[in-house]
Amino acid sequence: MELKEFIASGIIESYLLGTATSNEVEMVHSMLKKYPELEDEITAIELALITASSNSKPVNADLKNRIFESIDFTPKQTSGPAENMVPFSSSKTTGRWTRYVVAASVVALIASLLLNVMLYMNMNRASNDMARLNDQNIKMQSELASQNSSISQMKDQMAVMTDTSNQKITLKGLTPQPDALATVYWNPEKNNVHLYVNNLIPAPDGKQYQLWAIVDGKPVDAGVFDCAKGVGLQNMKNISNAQAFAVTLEKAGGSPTPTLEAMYLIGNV
Amino acid sequence: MIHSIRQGDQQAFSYLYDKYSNALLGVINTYTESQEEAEDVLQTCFVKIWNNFGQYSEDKGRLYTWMLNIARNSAIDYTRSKGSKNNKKNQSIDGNMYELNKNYNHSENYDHIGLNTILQKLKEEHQEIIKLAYFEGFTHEEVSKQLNMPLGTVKTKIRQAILNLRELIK
Repeated sequence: MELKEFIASGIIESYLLGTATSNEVEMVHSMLKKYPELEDEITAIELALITASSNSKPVNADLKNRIFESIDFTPKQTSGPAENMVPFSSSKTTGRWTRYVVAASVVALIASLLLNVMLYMNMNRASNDMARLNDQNIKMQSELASQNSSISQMKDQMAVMTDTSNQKITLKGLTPQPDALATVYWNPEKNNVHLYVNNLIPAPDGKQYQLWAIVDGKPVDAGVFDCAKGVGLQNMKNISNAQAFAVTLEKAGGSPTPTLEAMYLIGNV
Repeated sequence: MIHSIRQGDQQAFSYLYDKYSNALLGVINTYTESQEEAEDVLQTCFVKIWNNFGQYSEDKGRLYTWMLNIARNSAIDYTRSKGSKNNKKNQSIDGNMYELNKNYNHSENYDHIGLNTILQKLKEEHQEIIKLAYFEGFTHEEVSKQLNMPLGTVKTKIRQAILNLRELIK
């Protein structure tokens, strides 16, 4: 719309008189943007209106004081329509209470569930820890037991070896295994015999080594033995009046008489 | 100034009062029977302007137009409450007609203030139309009905009346 046409339309008058529609107000504002000089026209009409309604008598000076005293000039919280704010409906107090209670219960329930989960996880962890410690404990106990037994075994062996009433006889290797070696501790008074295998190839399946004592030129059975490693000192049958000890390879369980061809070790007292 | 008043600046509001109170009082005077009544309504009007200033926005129009509406509404509220107190005979007449008639009657009631000298210099029909469109806040359509005049003529006459006013001010 042309500026002249717009000015003649009467919209500006309606705009200033407060009777314009919102469309007309928008129209005035967009025309103002397009034609800033329109402001002069608007201001002139506004001034004419103000002048037309202004009294020839000046306003009573006391009136201003009276009016200003009646206005609350303390800073406004909000310029908005605070009175129009709808309060939380007070008639629904019970409903609100129920809502709060329900909300609190839900919160408590969730908290409880979380706590349960947490405690359950803690308990699982603790019981796992306990099982592991228990296993460790058992393992250590068995280790301790086996160490104790090997200690007592070693003590026994030490007692045998350091007993001055024992004779130590070294049995040396013969043709089947020249580097074979064994030691016999024999107590001539108590007749105890102990054997320690220093070096001897393991007996083949179905065979066993057998210790013999030579008493008055005749071989006497002193028992079969294992030559596996770590066996240590082995307690053999009691022998009296031995002149020599020998080891032969016999069938498992031993033989009543030694197989001389299979003599591996021999040593004199 | 608008910004200062929004911030709660009393000085700016005092300036606003000095600038527009006379014009608004003139509008209010057309509704009331005495100067004292008009002044009471003006007080109500400025209290409302201060309290509701946050609701004013330049997007809606001129500040004076906004205050003009508050002044008219305050005056109408006043005449209504007064009417319900004293003039029970009027109560049966309902809504708009009551208001229009009452306001129309008031427009003949200028004697107690001494009508604005500039307005008096206008032609009779221009004075009439300014009173309706400006003081009473009639829309063009309402003026058209009231004066039994075509809408286009109303627009032209309002514009001519204001142009004449502008000439008289110069």
